[in-house]
Amino acid sequence: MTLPIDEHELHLYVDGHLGEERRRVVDALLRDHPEVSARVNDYRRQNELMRQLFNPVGNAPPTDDQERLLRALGQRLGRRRFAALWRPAAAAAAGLFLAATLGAIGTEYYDERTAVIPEPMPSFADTAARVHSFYAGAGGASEPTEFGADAASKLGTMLDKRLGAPLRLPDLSQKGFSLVGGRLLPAVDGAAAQLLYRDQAGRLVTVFLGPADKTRLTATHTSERKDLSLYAWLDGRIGVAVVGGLSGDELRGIAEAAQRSLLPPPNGGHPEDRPGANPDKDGHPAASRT
Amino acid sequence: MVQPALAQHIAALRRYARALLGDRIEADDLVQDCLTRALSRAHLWRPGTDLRAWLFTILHNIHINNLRSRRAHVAVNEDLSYGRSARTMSAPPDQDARLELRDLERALDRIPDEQRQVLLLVGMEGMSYDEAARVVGVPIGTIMSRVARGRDALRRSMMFAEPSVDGAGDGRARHLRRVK
Repeated sequence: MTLPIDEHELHLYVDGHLGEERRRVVDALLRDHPEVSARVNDYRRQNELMRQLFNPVGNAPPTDDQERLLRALGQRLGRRRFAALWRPAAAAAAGLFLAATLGAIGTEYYDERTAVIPEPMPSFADTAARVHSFYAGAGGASEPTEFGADAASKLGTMLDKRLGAPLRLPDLSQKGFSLVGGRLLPAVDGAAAQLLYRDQAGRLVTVFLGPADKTRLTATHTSERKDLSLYAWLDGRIGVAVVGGLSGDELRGIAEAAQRSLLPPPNGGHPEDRPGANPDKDGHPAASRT
Repeated sequence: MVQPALAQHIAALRRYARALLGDRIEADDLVQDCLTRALSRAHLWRPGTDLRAWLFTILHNIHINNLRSRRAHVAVNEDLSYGRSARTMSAPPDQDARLELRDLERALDRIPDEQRQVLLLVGMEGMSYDEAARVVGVPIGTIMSRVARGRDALRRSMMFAEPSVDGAGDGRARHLRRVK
């Protein structure tokens, strides 16, 4: 039997999301097809039962912790509502200060897609992609960085302090990319850095380092969007993303090189970090070394 | 003072978490984690945008993350305690009028988590398919097929206890009815 509506419309109908015109079509169809009508009734009954079953749970008093958090959140969001009244004016007065934070950039990026729902946490990968497009996108900047390659180690030190984690600069020479320079950027949770690399052909790759939400970046994260490829992972507490207008395969190779160069050297590093490497109180090497 | 709108959203989050997980304590924990994160991210919420969707998205992300880490855990420890297996039935058992509710709760228990999420968001919370798609982070087409599959699964599962008038019904299903 062929019905003049599709299955999905039937569900939209059940949930009351169908437009007037299509709703009439379904109404008519249900009159002629009792078996479809029975299904619709069952689906509606499911919705009703779910509400009957769980409404009392929602209406029960919240736990003390929930109550406390709820109050705090109410206050914070209330302030946000109020703040919204003057923020546009303040922003205009301050000029375009890089949308104030990377967070703002991330949010703005999402707005293109989700006009209604703000992304609760601008994802690390999206921010990295946005930064790359902004500074190294079409045309590329003639003066692309704040720190030249020679001063980039200084950038590392600055970032160390702000992120509270030791930072090394990835070495991509193996893949034919050398460091052009970098810049420090404000981030929601502190600071982030963009390191820019270029190859002989003039192609640009960004290594983006910054605080990343563990829950959003649990493992490696790859994506290809528009003409960008991206590869991101967590290095200890720091998120690392490699972004560039290259093929996914090529970028992955570069990201792996970056990942390798960030690993502590197998025999170097800090001996005091290894168990058993410390002399004991008397100055004797620890016994476990033998 | 708690704004009425916010209080309503929290009631919805608690209802949703409980329906999703079954277990009361886990559901309370999930809501608490969600509120904690929302508080720390309050600066990212933009006034005038949909607060409910924002909160549900946060809760969903935490839930998915919990599921993932539990799954990794399961492989090692056979720990199946997060979510469905620990369900404490919300419907009082063995009351004839409540049987249908219990059947639904059991049926809900048996479908995949991803179908349960969308059935609850769309069917119980009354979200539009578009809104649910944004909360769950999948295309709207995926939401539609999950709704369709989930509802059919619930329906099949409940058919034994509560057969409805069905085109294929030849009376046999009716005899199965309420053979407790």
